[in-house]
Order: sequence, then C-alpha cells, then structure tokens
Amino acid sequence: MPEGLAVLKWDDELGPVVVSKTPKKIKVGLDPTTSMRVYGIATLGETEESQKPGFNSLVFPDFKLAVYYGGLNMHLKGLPSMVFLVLNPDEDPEVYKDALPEIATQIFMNADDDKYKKLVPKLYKQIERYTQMTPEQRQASIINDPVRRIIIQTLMKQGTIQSAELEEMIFEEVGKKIDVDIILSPLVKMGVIATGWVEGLSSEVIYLTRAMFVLRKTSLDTIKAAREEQLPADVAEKFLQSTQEYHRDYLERIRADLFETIWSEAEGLTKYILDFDIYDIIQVLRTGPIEKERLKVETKLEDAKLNKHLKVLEKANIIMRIKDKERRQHILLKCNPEVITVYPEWLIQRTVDLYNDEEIVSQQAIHYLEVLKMSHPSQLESMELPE
Amino acid sequence: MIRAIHIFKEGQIIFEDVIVPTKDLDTSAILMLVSSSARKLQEWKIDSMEIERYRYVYLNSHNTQFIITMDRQASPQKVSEAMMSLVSKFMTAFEKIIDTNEWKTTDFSPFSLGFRAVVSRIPVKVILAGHGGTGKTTLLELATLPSKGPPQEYIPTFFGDKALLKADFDPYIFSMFDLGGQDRFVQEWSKIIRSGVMVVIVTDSTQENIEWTKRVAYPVLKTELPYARAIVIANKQDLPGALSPEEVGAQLGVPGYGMQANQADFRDRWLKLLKDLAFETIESAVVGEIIE
Repeated sequence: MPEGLAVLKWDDELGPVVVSKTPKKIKVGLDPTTSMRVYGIATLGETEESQKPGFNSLVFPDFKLAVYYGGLNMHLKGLPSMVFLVLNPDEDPEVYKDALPEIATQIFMNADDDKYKKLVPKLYKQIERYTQMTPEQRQASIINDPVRRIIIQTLMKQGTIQSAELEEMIFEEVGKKIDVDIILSPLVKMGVIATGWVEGLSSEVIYLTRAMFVLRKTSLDTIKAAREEQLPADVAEKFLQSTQEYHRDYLERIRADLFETIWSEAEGLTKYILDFDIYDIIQVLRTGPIEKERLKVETKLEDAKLNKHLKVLEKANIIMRIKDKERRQHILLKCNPEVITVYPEWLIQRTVDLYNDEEIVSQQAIHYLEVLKMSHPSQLESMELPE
Repeated sequence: MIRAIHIFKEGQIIFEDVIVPTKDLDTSAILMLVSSSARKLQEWKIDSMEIERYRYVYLNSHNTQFIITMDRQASPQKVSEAMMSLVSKFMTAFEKIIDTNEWKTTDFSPFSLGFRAVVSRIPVKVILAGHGGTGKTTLLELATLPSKGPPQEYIPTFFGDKALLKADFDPYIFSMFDLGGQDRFVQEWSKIIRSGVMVVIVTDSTQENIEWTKRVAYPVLKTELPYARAIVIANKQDLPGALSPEEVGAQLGVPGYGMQANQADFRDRWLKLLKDLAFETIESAVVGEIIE
C-alpha cells in the first residue's frame, strides 16, 4: 500500500507547494528540496509548448515516488499540476504507471474551486485497487468518464477528428481547457484510437481503430444451466421467461436506435463494473447461477452489503433473485453487462462518403483509411488488449 | 513585495503605512494620479498602473480609494487577493465611519496591524544566481539551516532548491531559491525565477567567474527579472587571490559585498545584507539597468 498521495501546484513565490495530501500527517517525500528536484526532472529541457504530461518514478534512499506531471501549459498555472504517490523503499513505482495518470486526471479535472481536495482521500484508497483492475474494468473506466465517452461517441460517428476540434469540444463539455494528451493517453494505450500528423494540418489527428461500448448480453451459461435442469424447475421457468422478454425488448430498442440504446445507459452500467464489490458479484454470476449463501462465500461480502448490492443489480435489470419451493434464494444473471470492442467497419464507407462530399480534408480521409487498413483484424495477430 | 498602502478619501490621505519607501520617484504626485484613476473605478474592481520598477494596485470602495504599492517584478495576483482581503478587513472595522463625516476625525492607525499581517502572508522571492561551486547552496543553508552548519563539501545542486526564511525581517518572510549553477541548468532558470524581487548574484570572486556571470547569467536575469533589485556577493574572500568585493562589484556593475559563506559566524552579516536589500538601506542595482 502506498504511504500517501499528495497534490502539488507551482506557486511563483514558493515553488512547488503541497496543496492536498493524505494521510494528513505524511511528510516523507514532500520536502521542498525533493519537490523542486521532481519539478526539475519533469520539466528539464522542455518549454511550455513542448512539455507533455507524463509519469516518472524516482528512487531515494528512504522512499520512492511515482509522479504524474500535468505539463507546463498555461492553463495549469496556479492549479494542481503534479501528483505524488509516496511509496516505501520495497515497492515498485512502475506498478502504478497506469493507475496514477487516471487518478491525476480526475484531480486535474476537478481543479476548480478546490473540488479535488475532497477526492484525494477517496482516490488514495482506490489506487491500490486500480492496480488490480481487469482489462475490462480499465475499458469501463474510459466509458464511465464523461469526456472520454463523448470522444468515443464522436469518433464512432465520424471516425476521425483533429486535435484542435477535440479541444474545443472538450471545452464545451466541461467548460474549461483540459490537456488533450492526458485525456487520450489511455485510449491510445488500449489501442482504441491512434494519433498522427497529416501534412497541411496544423494539429494532430485522432483516429478510431476499435469502437468500444457496453452491451447487455445474454448470459449463455445461465441460460444453459436453466435449460439443462441444473436449477429447480420453477426457478428455471421464471428466469427463462423473464430474460427472454427482457432481451426481446432490448433487441427491439437496439434495432430502433442503436446509438441511443447503447449510450443512454453506458454510464450506469460501467459504474457497476467499476465497483469492485459489485464486479465481484457479476464475475461469479457470469459462470452460472448460484445460491445466495454460496455467493456470500464466493464474494466474501457481509450480508448487509451483499443484500444492498443485489437489490441495486436487480433494479438495474442485471440480476434476478428467485426463491425456490424450499425458500432457497437463487441469484441469476438476467443480462450480462459487458464492455465490447469491435473493428469499426462501418467507418470505411463513412470516410469514403465524407471524402466524396468534401466534408473532410482529403489527406486526413486517406490517412484514416490507411489506419483502418492497418488495424483490420486480418492484419493483426491478436486484438487482445494489454493487461 | 508589498511596500506600502495608502487610503484616500476626497483627495486626502486618511491612512498610510509605508514599509519600504519608493525612492527615485515623486511619490506624492504619483499617488494623487493613481487615486484619481481609482476614483473612476467601479466598486470592488481592481486595476493597476506600472511606473518604473513599481506597480500600484488600486481599488475603489465606498468612495474610498485603496492603493497598494508593490515591486513591479512580484506576482500581481497575490497582491490583488491581498487587496480584497485588506479592503474587507477595513470595511468590517470602519464601514459606518467611512460612510459618514466621522472619518475626518477618526484615527485609522490600528489598521496597520491588519495590513502588516496580510503583507507577511506573501513571501518575498529571493533568487540566488551564479555559477556552480560559488556557494549558493552554502548561503541558502547558512541562512535557513543554522543548526546544520554550512556544508564543507561541494555537491552540485540538481535544477534548484528552495527554503523559507523567517528572521528579523518583519513584516516580510523570504522565499529563497537556490538555482542550479551547472551550465545545463541555466537554461532552466526561467522556469523558476519568475516573480523574483531580489537577486543575489553569487560569485567566487575570481575573474573567470565574473566573465561567466556576465556571459551566461546576465542574459537570463535581464530578460526575466528586469525590475528586480540585485547585489553581488563576492564569496570565498578567504581564498588566496580573491578579488575584492569592490572589484567584483565594479566589474559586474552591481554593488558587491564580501562573504565567507562556509563560516557560520558570517550568518549575521548575510542576514543583515538580505534585510538591507529588502528595506533598501544598502546600495543595489536594478537588474535591467545593470551596465557591465
């Protein structure tokens, strides 16, 4: 467990200043000399224009630091710009390479009116779990983020966008300037987008290489268990009837308006995937139906907590709780909320149309078609996302 | 660095507290000019005027004009915040008086305490600039870590260091920045030195070092801190062949003061120099006006 989390900003009179930290009493790694050195390492040789946000790990005799620096950009003046994760000498800072930028981004995005200060203790508790996130949870955290969700939505419609346009879009959404690099970095890492420069364009271009969204899938293992009489007949019948009705409606909604159906509940569904306790329940249920008492053992959750989560999941039409004749409660996955990534085949024709209608810069369209060609599943050995 | 506050009502000064006077200017004429500009301002709106190396920050409230005189090189944002805080304090105490004729007979001098408390919350930024090995870190530690004793071994400073210094400088506290003096760090100085009000140029009192200071350090300092006040420390006076402080100062175009930073008993002299530089009771130069 890290020893502490601290947020620092640059103050012209004082240099790097700790503006929030948890636990409150932590001092190690936050002295003026260290913070100046870290600021130096993060900015050495860079100008306000060239500086990119980035992760650094540093080893000192008595402690280690994982640091995320937000950049020297003007919009960070007077605002938090560095996040320090203080580690003991036995820990490996590299473990936090993915988690810390996420935590830092949440802090930077809540910089106004010191809102981030309330978040710091919560984020500190989460960071350990962040490192234990599954690839699916990492994808869910992208979809759960309102700014990144809008980026994916936009790219799923038009395939490509210039960085300058994206900056404007983000500004309209959140009402302030946010570094596009910070926002895009995990999307690039996951292989969902690619970026590149196109001759004649003044800003970088962003391309969608994998569409990503969350779907309510049918839980085949649960249906199989119900059909193969692994459940009491009354429970199986009730479940099958209910799940069939639900999915028939869901399919109709998808056929009527795919985009609206997917995105209207994306935030809600990813919230469940990101909640570690709830995700544990879903993971168990994905393997098949289970009796409540057994589920309690599997998830190691206390009664009150388990009941609360089950109630929430039932209300969200994700699970069903059915009692058999012997009053045993069976928990079944009514639908499986799953993050899906697919090759955006529809964007090939869409890009050709945009090109023909001159609604996109020709070089940008040609470059994107090349990107789509290179990222086509037939060109790739494996589309597995990095662990 | 906040130097003074003046409060005007109907063209008269009803309160003033001057910590460091503005020399080389016709202060009363300038204050009249600023107060007339302030009178035209909307209630609680802050504006400022820059004259020479000073900045006058002003605000109008209840037909009363508040003028803070500060060093032009210091960050105006904090002084603007200080202004809001000061005027709020003043109005809490004197609002009823200021809105009636009672102000003509009221003694506002107790407000000094509040003013100086606000001044002490904004550290005065002091820059220790010079080549590697001249004694900047030793000077920093001599001032801020007296119990540790000056370091006797040279360890080059990576990028820079900083420390707060509270001593007999009331109402000021100093935020001391020791700049990495290796050549590769000089190009980084501009990231650190913004808002520096006082510059202490540190030399090891050798000809070679004087040439380096003029060639490498001066261009950065003159670009970034043209309105800051500077002195030169002619350090290592104990070494054979050391040029005298007068010689070092004359060659660099800045008043020079001798020092042996590795000797703990030089601490008092060092602190006094810093204090005198802040209160302008010793000779100094304005960085942008240095003639080599």
